[in-house]
Amino acid sequence: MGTMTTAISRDDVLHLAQLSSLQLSDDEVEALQNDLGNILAYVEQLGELDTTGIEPTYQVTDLENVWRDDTVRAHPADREKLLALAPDSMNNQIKVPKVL
Amino acid sequence: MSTIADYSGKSAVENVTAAITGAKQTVDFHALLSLTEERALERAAQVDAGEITGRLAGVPFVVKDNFLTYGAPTTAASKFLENFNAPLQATAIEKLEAEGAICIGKANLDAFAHGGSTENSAYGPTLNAIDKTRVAGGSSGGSAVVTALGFVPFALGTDTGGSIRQPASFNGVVGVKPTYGTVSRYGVVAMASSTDTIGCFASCVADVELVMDIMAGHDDSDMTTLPDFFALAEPLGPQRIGVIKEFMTDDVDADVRMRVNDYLDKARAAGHTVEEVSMPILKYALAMYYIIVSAEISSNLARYDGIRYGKRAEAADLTSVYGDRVTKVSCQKTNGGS
Repeated sequence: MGTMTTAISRDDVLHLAQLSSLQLSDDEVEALQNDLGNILAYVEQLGELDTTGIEPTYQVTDLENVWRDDTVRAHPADREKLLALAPDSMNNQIKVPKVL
Repeated sequence: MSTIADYSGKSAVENVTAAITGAKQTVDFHALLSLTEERALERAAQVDAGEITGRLAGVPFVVKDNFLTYGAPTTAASKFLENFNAPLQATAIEKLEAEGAICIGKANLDAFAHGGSTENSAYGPTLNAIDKTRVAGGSSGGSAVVTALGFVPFALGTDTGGSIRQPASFNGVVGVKPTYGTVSRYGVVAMASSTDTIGCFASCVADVELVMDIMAGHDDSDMTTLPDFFALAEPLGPQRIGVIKEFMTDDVDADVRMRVNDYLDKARAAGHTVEEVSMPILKYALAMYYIIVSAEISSNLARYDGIRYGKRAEAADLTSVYGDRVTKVSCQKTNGGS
């Protein structure tokens, strides 16, 4: 592994934390600045590779257009069992905290 | 260690009782997160009554706790799913049960299969079966350890980037990570869908071959499964075995190198040829892996938001469920450049 580092600013970390809905302490922000810089530097070694003219690998199975008959299949669990998994439900629907 | 043959033709109830006793006597390894004792004994009685038959009739096994099963919660070694009772079973489990196999418990793992030591479990680490002062490997560490301890002849695991191969090696058991698409992933907690595979651990190659033969094949519920891909091996003539140069550098531990070379000597003595091959691209494999896998984990784990199942944070509105600061995201920053 190289010693190259990629500078990640404190603002970069705070912005990512907001996008990820994470609350970070000052120590965590500093640690992540370091870690994220090192991680980016590590994956940047891929920049050494010349990929001119190489097609992206979209899949490896060679399977195409996998279809099945559009028939209703019995599910092992009924509605009550599935709703019971949710933290909260009402009138056969999953209940969530208010959205607006 | 035990083999599948040790259990065939015997009372299923006795097999299951012995396996559960073995599990309880080895709790200090912390290889299991739960036992499915009640369901296992019910199924064993059905096998003994002749109601269930098959190639694995009455054979006990253990499954990594990221497979959806009946009889115990499916936690993926996370507190988030502590009380999640699966509404269905994974296709792999259904296929094994159809052949009479009996799941007796759920094995510890790195939470959501993220890790390589089984120390990253919310319920505490699993210890190595041969030396308790060492790590079990992972993420399928619990499955490898129960196989090495021998109270079941086989256990299931998942492998996204080494999670069967590495703990199998650390505990001295046979582990198989099949070609992508061999076994349906339906009903298994997803990590990185481009590389997730399902395989197994056992004490010998013949047993993993039998288990793979049962689990493999097309499944309408996993559109990446390959049809009739897996086949029992015919006796092989002389083969060419490639030894990857980049895997045998000076960084390899001397004992490990010696074991590998001993094995290659055995292969040569059996009439096979061994050739060194170079794969220079391997230098970049880990960097590529961490880009693809991190991105896919982000997508796959978005479902653990506490809406449809699992723990939900107490909050006044939906936005706050995800965290307070999300309401303050600034729109000034652009994504241009990096």
